[in-house]
Amino acid sequence: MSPQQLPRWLLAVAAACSVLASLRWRSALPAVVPSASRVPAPPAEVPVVTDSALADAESLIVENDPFRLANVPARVEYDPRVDGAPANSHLPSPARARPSFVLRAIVGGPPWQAVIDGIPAQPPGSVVRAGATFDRLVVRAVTRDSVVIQGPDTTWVLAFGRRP
Amino acid sequence: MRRSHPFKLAWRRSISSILIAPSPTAGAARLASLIADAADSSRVKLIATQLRADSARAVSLARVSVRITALADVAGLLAFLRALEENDVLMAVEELAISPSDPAAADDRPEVLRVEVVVAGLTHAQSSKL
Repeated sequence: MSPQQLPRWLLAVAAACSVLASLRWRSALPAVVPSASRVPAPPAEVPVVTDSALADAESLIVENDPFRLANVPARVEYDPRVDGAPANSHLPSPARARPSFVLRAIVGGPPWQAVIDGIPAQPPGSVVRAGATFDRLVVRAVTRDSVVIQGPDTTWVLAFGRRP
Repeated sequence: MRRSHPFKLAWRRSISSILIAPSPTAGAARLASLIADAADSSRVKLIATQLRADSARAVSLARVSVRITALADVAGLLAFLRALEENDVLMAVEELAISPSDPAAADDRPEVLRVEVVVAGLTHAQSSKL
C-alpha cells in the first residue's frame, strides 16, 4: 500500500463502519426491562372513633391521671377564675396599683371578644368577653368598637387609639 | 325547577364546616374565638394566643392556625380537646405539649398543667357571610 492510497483506505473503512453502525442502530431492539409487579397495598382501615369511645378514653385518662405521681386526680378541681388556687382560700391581697388598659383588637361578633393589654395578673393580649372576671375587675360589655370594664370604684370605657 | 349540581351541593355542605372570613387574618381571629369559647366551657384558662395566617397569598381557601398557651387540669384539658373535636367547624390539633407544674402536689391542691396547643383550620374568603 502506497502512502498515497492510505487516506482512501481510511475513508473507505470509516464509511464501512458508518454503514454498519447505521444498520445496527436500525435493527437493535430496545432492552426489555421486566417491570416489577407492584401490588397495591390494601387501604388501611381508618378506625372510627365514636363518642362513647372518646368518653371512655377521657374517663380512663382522668381516673389514672398521668401527670401526677399518685396517678389519681386531685380532690380540688382547677378553677381558672382564681388561677388554680383553692376557691376557699382567703389570703390577704396586696395593695393594687391602678391598671392601665390598652385595647388592641376586637374580634368575632356578636358576641364580640376583645384583646386587651394591661389587665392585672394577665399577660398582654388577653382575650376577654363580656362577663369575664379578673379579680375585682368585671368586663361588663364588649361591643364592636369599645369595651367596658368595671372595677370596685372605677369604670373604664376602652376604645381604639387612646388610653382611658 | 332548577336542580343544583351534586358538586355544588357537596361544596355547600363542606363549606359550612370551614371558617368564613374576609381574609386569612380574620379567619385566624375567628378560629381563636372558637378556641376561646371551647376553653371557657372547659375550665381552661387561656394565657396567650398567637394567630398564624398566611396573609401574603391571595387565595380563597387558606390555612390558618392558632397557638395557645393555657392552664388547666387534666379533666379540663380533655374536655377542651373534646370540645374542639366536636365543634361544627373542622379544626385539627397539630401540636400538643403538656407540662405539669407540680406532679407531687398534695391532693387538696388543684392540678395545674401548662398546655401549649396549635390548632389549625381552613378559612374561605367570603365577605358576605361575615
